[in-house]
Amino acid sequence: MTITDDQIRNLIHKSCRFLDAEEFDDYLDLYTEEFEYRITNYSREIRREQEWMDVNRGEMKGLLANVPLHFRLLGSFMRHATVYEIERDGADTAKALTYVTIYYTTPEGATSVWAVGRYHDVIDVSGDTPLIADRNMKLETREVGIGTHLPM
Amino acid sequence: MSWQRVCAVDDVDEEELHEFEIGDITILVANAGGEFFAYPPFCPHQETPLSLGMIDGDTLTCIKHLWQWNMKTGDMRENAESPLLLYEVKVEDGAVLVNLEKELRYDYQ
Amino acid sequence: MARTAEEHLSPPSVQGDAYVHSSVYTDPDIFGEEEEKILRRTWKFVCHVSEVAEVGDFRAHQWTGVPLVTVRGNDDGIRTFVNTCSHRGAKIVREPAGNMKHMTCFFHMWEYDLFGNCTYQPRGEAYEELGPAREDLSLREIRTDVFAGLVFINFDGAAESLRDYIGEAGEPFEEIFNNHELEVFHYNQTHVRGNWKAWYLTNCDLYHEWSHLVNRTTSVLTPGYHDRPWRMQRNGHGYNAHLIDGSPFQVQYKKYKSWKNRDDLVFKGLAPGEFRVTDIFPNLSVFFRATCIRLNHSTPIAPGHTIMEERGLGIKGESKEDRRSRSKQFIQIWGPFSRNASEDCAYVEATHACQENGANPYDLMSRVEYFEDQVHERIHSDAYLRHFYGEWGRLMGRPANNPRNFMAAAE
Repeated sequence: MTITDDQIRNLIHKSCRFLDAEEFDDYLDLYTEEFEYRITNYSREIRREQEWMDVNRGEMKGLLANVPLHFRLLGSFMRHATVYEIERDGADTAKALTYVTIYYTTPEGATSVWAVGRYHDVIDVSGDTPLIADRNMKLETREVGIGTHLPM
Repeated sequence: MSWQRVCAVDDVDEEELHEFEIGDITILVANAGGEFFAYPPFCPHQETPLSLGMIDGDTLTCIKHLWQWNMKTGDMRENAESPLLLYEVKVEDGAVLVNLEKELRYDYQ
Repeated sequence: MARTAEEHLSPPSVQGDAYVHSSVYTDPDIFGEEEEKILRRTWKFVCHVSEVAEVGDFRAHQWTGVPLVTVRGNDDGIRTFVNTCSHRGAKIVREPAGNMKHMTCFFHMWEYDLFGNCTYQPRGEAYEELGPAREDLSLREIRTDVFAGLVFINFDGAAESLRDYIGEAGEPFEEIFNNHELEVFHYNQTHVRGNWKAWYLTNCDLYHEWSHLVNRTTSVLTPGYHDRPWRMQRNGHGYNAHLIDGSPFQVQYKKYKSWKNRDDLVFKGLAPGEFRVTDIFPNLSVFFRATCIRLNHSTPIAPGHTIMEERGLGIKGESKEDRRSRSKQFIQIWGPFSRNASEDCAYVEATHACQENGANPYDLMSRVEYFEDQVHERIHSDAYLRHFYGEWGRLMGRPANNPRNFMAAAE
């Protein structure tokens, strides 16, 4: 069965919804076993690309399991994603480019834009359902307040 | 004596802690190097779930203030200021059984 | 029994150096005086030499509100200039970093060379009548020096040399820094709603490690954790490195879910998993976590506004795989998406929110945990905090526990 572009879009949108809701098990189910996840950006201060998060499945699972035990922001994130491009580069994989805006809402209810960036995804389309094999959340924003433990 | 089956031995991996419900009673089962132990689910200090704790050899550590106990006896080790209550446990036919004559509870102030 | 308002506002019943008044974190007059008496008279960390590795490489920054640019000159010397044109005062270098052959002001296109000389003014002959001469229009230079690859500046031309200033506080890191050619691979900055001292002293208050899940699981229960003495140094510096018997403190990273111990890629001179921290007054902390080096300092903007900066160092020329592993380990604990740094920011902001409205009038630092010798203090002592404020009080000419009364009396 051929995976459609709509299925890929749904996958990416679900990745945002599950993270917003902190449904971490469902979120992890959207990835392949061997996936890699990074948050990166280009630093104008040191003039190089850098990683701000770099985890595989085991590390992401450990992180998400521990998130509730860490002290962290008490508000909530909402991710707004628009898939701009889907490119088929072979029978088994596709590439997707998604623009993402992340809003943060304080416990008191005030909302502001927290970060903007782009998902550069490699999607495994070899099975019945598409899965994310590689995600690079390339941030445009480099000042994210006090930060967070969560993937974006 | 009221021995009750809590879980299968395979339900709790080594060095892991899991909560199980027996009726209205929550039991925390620990697997320390293949040996099974059962406790009330909360730390005697501030009711932190001990399922979040860590096992190292025969030492159980609560994640909040790092109170530690001897898992076999409940005796206090590092930081702890009160002992850990434990249920009597036996393993039969691949199942973990707990003597649930009465629920063990701490007297929180 | 809860305390009454009067009791709450009364100084804690401890010796005078064991608490400070919260106004040291919130009062604009005290902040202004700190700029004059501390921040412009002590050596301030700017960047790592790798950030200005080539001739023409520069880093633009600011200190006490003054825009600055640090640049490597054609003679390979590293210099710092006040980054403002001698003409109408526009900021000259506007990028945070880059490479330049000369500095051109974008307002009237005046040019300066990398020694700070004014070298060109469009239609410059129009200054012949009234002056000033071009040689009187060079940029103001700020004293700049390098210690173990760390670039520092000092506004005070009469201050002691950088090496003398750091003194023996350089011991835990100088050799390790010199064992490798290092370069910065990680950078981030955060505007923290808190005071610069509160940020720095969070690095120096190791008792707060109780709050970090990472430290609770990997360190606090590890043998030797409490057997490390604070080593106080001249000029308000201090460090916490070896156990009192001289052996290293080795963190058990594998105790945090999904992490591994740090046995590979360890910097030469450190043991696997080894942790050390050196605190250089007024606000640079140099951390080692076996495979990772973190340079952490801040730029005070206002009493309740601090720009915190973090840098991660790796070995120049190491393989892509090794660099990725090192970076992965760095950002597990430090950086905007790490386990610890965002928690530290939250602590500082939470305390400031209470201090600035007087809800918390005093900052208590009365922990004392001695070794058996009754001389050295263990790492959960507030020894360094008291040491810091001793130096602060010396430079400010007022005690940190009652700075405003002292000021009022002086007036």
